[in-house]
Amino acid sequence: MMKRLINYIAVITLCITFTQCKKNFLDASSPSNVDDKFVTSTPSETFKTLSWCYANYRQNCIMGTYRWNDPIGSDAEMYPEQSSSNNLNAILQPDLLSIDAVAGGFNSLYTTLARAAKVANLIAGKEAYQKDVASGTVSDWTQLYGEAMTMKAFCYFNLIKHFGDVPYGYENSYVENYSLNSRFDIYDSLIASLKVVEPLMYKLGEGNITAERFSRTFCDALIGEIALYSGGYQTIRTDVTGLYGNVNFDKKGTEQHGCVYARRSDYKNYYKIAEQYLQAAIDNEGTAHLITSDDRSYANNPFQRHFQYFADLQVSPESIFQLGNIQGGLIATTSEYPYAFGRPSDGGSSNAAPTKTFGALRIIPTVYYGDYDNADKKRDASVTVTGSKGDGNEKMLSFVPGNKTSGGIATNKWDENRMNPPYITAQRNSGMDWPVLRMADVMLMLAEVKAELGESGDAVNLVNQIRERAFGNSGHDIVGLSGDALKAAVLEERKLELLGEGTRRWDLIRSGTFSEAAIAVQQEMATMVNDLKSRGYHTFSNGNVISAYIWIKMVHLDNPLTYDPDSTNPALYPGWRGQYNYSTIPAIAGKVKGNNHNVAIEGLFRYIDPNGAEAASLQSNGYVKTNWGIDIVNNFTSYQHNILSGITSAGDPPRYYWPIPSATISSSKGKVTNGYGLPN
Amino acid sequence: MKSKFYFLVVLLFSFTTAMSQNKTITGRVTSGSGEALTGATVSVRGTKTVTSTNSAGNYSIEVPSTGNVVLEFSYVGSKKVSIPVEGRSNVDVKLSVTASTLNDVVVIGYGTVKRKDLTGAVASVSGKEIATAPVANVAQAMQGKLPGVSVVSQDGRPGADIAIRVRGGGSISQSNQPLILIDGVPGTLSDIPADQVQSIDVLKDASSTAIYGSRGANGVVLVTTKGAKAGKTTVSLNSYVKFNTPAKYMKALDPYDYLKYVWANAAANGNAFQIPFEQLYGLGANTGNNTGGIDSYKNLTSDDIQKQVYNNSTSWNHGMTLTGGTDKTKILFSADYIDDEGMKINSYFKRANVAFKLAQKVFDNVTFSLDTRYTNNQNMDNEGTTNGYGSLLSTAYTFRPIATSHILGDLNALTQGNIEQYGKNVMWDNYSPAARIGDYFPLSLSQNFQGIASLDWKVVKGLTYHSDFSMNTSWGQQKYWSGAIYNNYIDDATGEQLYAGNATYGKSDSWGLRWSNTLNYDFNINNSNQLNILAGQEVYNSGGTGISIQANHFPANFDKQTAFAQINQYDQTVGSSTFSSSVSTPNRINSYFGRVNYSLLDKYLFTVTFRADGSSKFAPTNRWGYFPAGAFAWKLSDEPFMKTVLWLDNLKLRASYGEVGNNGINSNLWSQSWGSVTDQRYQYAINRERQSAYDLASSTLANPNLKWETTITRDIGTDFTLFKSRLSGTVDVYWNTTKDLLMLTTIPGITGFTSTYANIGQTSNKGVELSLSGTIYESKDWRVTAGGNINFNKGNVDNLAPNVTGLYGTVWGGTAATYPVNDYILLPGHPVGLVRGLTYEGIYTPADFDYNNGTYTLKKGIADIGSWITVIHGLTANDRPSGQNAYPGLPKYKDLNGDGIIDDKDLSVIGNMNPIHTGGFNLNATYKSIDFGVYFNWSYGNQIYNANKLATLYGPKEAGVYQNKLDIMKNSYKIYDVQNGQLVRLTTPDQLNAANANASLPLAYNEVIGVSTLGIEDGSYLRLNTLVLGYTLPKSITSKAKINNLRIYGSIYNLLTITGYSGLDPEVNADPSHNNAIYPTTGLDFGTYPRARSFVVGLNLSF
Repeated sequence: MMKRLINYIAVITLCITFTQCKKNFLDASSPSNVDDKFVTSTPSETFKTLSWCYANYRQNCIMGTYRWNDPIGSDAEMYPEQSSSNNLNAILQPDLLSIDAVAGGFNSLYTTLARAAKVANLIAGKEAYQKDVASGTVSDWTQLYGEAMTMKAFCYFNLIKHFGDVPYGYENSYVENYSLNSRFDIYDSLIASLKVVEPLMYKLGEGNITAERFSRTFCDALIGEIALYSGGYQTIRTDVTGLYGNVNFDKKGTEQHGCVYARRSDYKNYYKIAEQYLQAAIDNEGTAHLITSDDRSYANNPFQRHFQYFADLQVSPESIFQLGNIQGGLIATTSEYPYAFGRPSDGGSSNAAPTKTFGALRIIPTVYYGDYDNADKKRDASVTVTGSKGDGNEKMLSFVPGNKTSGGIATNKWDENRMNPPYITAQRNSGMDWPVLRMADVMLMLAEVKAELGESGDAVNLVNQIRERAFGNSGHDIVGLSGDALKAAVLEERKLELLGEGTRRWDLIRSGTFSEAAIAVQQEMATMVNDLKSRGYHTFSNGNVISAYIWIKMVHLDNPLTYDPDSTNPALYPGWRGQYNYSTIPAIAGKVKGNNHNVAIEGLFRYIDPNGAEAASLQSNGYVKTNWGIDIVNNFTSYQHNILSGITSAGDPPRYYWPIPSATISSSKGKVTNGYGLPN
Repeated sequence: MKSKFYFLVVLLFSFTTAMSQNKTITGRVTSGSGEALTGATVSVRGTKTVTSTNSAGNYSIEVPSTGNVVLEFSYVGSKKVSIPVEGRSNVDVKLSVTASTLNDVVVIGYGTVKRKDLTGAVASVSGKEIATAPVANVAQAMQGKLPGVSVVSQDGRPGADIAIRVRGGGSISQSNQPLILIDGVPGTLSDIPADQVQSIDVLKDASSTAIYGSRGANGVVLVTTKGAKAGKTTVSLNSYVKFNTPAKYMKALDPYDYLKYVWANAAANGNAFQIPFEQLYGLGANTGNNTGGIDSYKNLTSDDIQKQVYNNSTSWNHGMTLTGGTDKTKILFSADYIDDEGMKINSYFKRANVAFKLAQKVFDNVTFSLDTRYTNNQNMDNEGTTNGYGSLLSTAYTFRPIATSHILGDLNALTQGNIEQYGKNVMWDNYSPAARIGDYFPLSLSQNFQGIASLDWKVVKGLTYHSDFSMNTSWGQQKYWSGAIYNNYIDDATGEQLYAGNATYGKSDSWGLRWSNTLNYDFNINNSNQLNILAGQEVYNSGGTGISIQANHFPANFDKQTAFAQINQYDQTVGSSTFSSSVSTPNRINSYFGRVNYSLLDKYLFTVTFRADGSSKFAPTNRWGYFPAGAFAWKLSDEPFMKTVLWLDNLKLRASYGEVGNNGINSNLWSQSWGSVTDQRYQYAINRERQSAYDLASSTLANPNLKWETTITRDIGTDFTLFKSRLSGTVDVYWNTTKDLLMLTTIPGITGFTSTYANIGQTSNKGVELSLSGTIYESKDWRVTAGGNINFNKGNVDNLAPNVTGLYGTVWGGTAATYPVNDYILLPGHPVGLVRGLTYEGIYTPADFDYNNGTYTLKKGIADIGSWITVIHGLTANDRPSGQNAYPGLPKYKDLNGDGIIDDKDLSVIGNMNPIHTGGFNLNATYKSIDFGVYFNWSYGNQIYNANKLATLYGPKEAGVYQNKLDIMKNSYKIYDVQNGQLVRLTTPDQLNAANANASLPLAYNEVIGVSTLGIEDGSYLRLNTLVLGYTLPKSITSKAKINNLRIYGSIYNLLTITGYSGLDPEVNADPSHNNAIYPTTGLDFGTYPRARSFVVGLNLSF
């Protein structure tokens, strides 16, 4: 009996001991996961959270949304392939887009801004930051806070540009009720928030801030840009009652698809803000400046020098912001810029001389032939008529629709041949930075603003600074312009200066001339094609001629990479082409074919009669008659499709928006819809 | 913890028991036919003395030397026999063994119960059945043998994952894999050699699984390994050799058709593709020395590279078990080694396993047991897939079917133009699939050590205290090496190796600790009221760490050994490296549970179970879950009024109801913390230097309200035995409802997140299971038995939260190339596993168009393909009017909404991947010493999404141009034809009609593939999974060699499959979440590793 009792007691005691587990046993954590306080303990730790934001912007935001279609959807730039769905937004055919066409870009912009907002909140709660703000001291903390806020504003700015009115302010929390916010309200809010942080940020060069991070200089420019976009023409919705509150509009053209082309009636208030802050960006330029001289002994093109910094994998002193990138890597970072928008190459995806460049960005031939003055150094540095074959040889581009060396003349601002040495290991991996904003852009935006505000003298002065760099002298300055003529001159200068950089379509939109310009370029192309068809050539008002055929020949140059043009040598005119000397790269030397790596071109700007004596003489000298403009004639339907075919009359509202993706539409209980004829 | 242990030790020594005078009785227990019965229980009535017979049927037991001693003999499947000793010292007994399994012991949570007393739904398979025809993974042996348990292996790769689903599985985002407990400890079935299994019991309803609370929702698989036995030492050996041979290869175009197809395809992609192809083979305008042109290749036999990539292989297995001991000390030692060679180059699974078990009676009423197991696995194989393509293995057929020696044109063309640029992988021998697979070594190593120490203390009569302490530690290594060919690190001009290759080297370890304590009290209130009460507590804690290094571009003089040994020696000028380390968040569970079994009059059985689980995976407020269950069983056949039904031996009705949980989510989902960024793409670069970065630890929006997913199970069943135990069976009807689904949910991107986990929606599974087994014929020499089971399960998504679209995709073709991107859908009212796409309606013919001057303009009233189709190679701007996509030969789809355009609005559910019923049946016969068995399993009514087929039905550009196609493309629509040895573009309606009179598949020059009914096939099959023929040598011969038992056998696996499915194998589960799809991508056949047909010769020997 006693034994049994002892056993019972023992068992019961034992059981009681098991119920007394440590109270916090179920609080499990891992040192691999750290909390908010840990990651914001010091400025350098805090920057690591922003490091992710910048990288996420590069990896997931910049492609898929504006960077793909912005630079190919204007009256100067186009996409090269026929019947592709890649350029539906660029040609303003939003009805054909699928609702989730850019869901990745849309969501990632919000992800990036949500993270930036979270980081900003964490910094705002720090005593050290509050102290610096109270005393007005610019410190690492105030810079980081400003950077986070600038990131947030930058993402929202891009959202509005590409999606129009969007939901605002729902980040980092679970929402069941949300709706569209007026873009004008969001712009006001962004401007207000940036005005607060801007004075406490570092100018470029201060606090080790380079143009690969957001600086006070960039923040100033961004305020100006946002104000300019708020005040400029844009396509607004008429299908959502009360969306814009009491903002009044001056409308243009016809109302279609529940939208209209308009600008706010009080736009001048915004142009004034833009003027103030674009000027502030120039005043606070820090180490940035417009490059006006060329330090190279073998070339003299300060305009091209800016792009050479990208090829040299350096930060250009003209950049206000360029998105940092890196070469190689186990998994490649997004190095799309030179691949998508650079000088075309037929090379293979890896180990080629050079590797493939798709070349999504083609220059409409009327711009190349008709808009540039032949003395303008920008032309050859901006547009190329040749690409690379992938085996160390230069190759004439073709106007037959396609990609790589087919598809038309292309941008020349990014060319892997100009890297030293080129990255030949893998395509899309050369690691050039993404250009975002440079001083010339800021100056010409300021010129645009001043022209609109009637400050003609200042505007002319700004434009001439840009022109003097391009021509190397003041002989091509604009003089005495004002009013609409001045505005047109600024617009034209922006077109040629910033060609292929994704600004032209926005310039046209803001200026209220988008649809007129679209119709104009369509007609100009039609005239050119008619002439090519009937006469074999077309003459532009500047005297340049495009012909149905040209004559080309492969020739030898000791240095196959060429620089400033030499009109006496058909292999050196136009300039800024040729090939890197790939036989000097051991890994690829075996792939280099032949010894004549350069293309000599005859008849590019003048008419040579195919049946005439000159043609016969060229052919006897080894030149080959080659299709040129005739390929545009033969494929004109493709060109018609790819040049803003969504605009059919000058009164059409330009419908340049992307659809808000389905996840955001479908959970909104009907409060968020896609307008402009986009799918819902 | 430590102090508790001392307390226990003190307790153990605090009492002793007195023993009286004893004598020993020995004897032998045999079956009716005189066979020795191993493991029969022998006990002394009225005492706790018990022993069991050894493999020769002998026993030895101590009994009091005085008094009326009665021995009780019992054996599984026989009635208990009581025999008074009456002074004898030797008592031999014959037990008549029936086919009935009612007395089998069934393992349930924290205890066992006789099958006849079971109230829940439990399916069992014995170790003997599993060992008859051994397989590398025990789960394979379960296939088709357990009602309500579906077992589908991933595919034919060695070490393949095997999906086990108990009654369908209710979860969508979470794992549906049942809790697998090996001797009570969570483990992996592939770690256990088949011949070490004593039994496998699968708990299916809450009545039995609720005792596992939060982990029981998907059912529980309890594996009991063989234990040590007292008696004479026995040694048993099990060995086999297995010859594997491919059951099927993909049928690709033969040389002539290949040339015809690819030549045309190259032409459609332009001169740059066409001309080098013509030069290479000597075709068309570039005949060269091949004056016969394409006709020279007629009748040439295919050089099928698939046969180099995967072909016959040999596997083998040796196992040995030694057991023996005394009444007080029992020992088992077991060792096993398997080398399972895959049919593919560089694929194998090797496992070494050692187990040691000890049971030591410390006192008369206290037993201490130790159970240890060490497993060492080596697995070489990782069949990754590439979007739009498949795996290297599954697309080996795309390599040119013409051997280099048979190429009649200019071989220099191989190294030029677009062949050089895009065609290497399908044209160059040194980049062939065989060469690339042979240069890729994805080796995973793992070691696992597990020890369980347990203590059984019979405190007083009927009250048992059991304590179980287990720990396991695992070490894993990932040593992936890819060489110069695989990575294209070859200078093609010189053949020189530029770099040796890339290495991925990871090490990880994990640990788990578990301590459970139970008190079990068995007592009778009186003869008609019997109670068994179990109360217990369990704590579980596990965690792990890992490090990983990746480096690329090792210098050419390196090989994989040197690279792993000197991983920092990669070429830093071109290469890069990443490294990372991690510590996992511990997974902790603290639980309390209890169970009451009450038996009234031995006819009415009641079970009530309750478990409370606290889990570290949830926020403090939602940590605890409570899981109750109840069951009732009625032994109807024991009622007096049933005694007159003579053909009925036993009939039991069961009903149960209960709740179980599923906590299978990551620990980090309820709070938002930060983690370091390893992926270099998310480390920003400043001045060409990577900047360290912190990202949120989870990409989902944290949801502090997360709680358990709860499954309510309802089950009604009956167990019966008929006709003097000739036939027995079980029928179960169930209805499981899973509520508060823990689902990955899409949320609007404006939050900064695109998904969160939330408890939303509900699913259910309803079904019927029937299993029957019986003796068909029995005589002195013959015994023929058969068994089978059939399962009907209907899964259903009962409801989803309003913001869940249910759309998800595999994007097997890549986001830009698969239409629609979301090719799967969850639909309320339907099961999980619906494929969404277009309805194929044939081919556009010239009759659908107005033809004018080369342009085909679609007639009014005929729907056009939407702009999603994008580029179609071979068509120029003039072939179609601007804005029209349709062209003769393209696939025609059903215009569901009649708006004249085939787009998103014409998508519908086109396939259901769920079977109507599945099952298995077997037939076993023994004639004297010969045994024979066949095992079939089937699936009926399910469809398969044959992406391998769709992948040949479209035309990727560049690298896709020179690929060979599946044989079916012989009959695809042509817009080019070969006439007089020249390739001709067919343009006029007459030309197209003439060439395509027999076309049965569309033109495949489109870069985007429309998912349509063309890719949906009936997946029903009946497979003769195993055939076994064995011969046991007569005792008269073996006993001379002191051999107790010697059986030799041969078996064939995967002998025959009857199916209408056109793919390699209708058992499809290669990639249940392809491309990390958020919900299950059931039934997708893409990039599979084919199953072998295997021939086995083996022997079982014991002495």
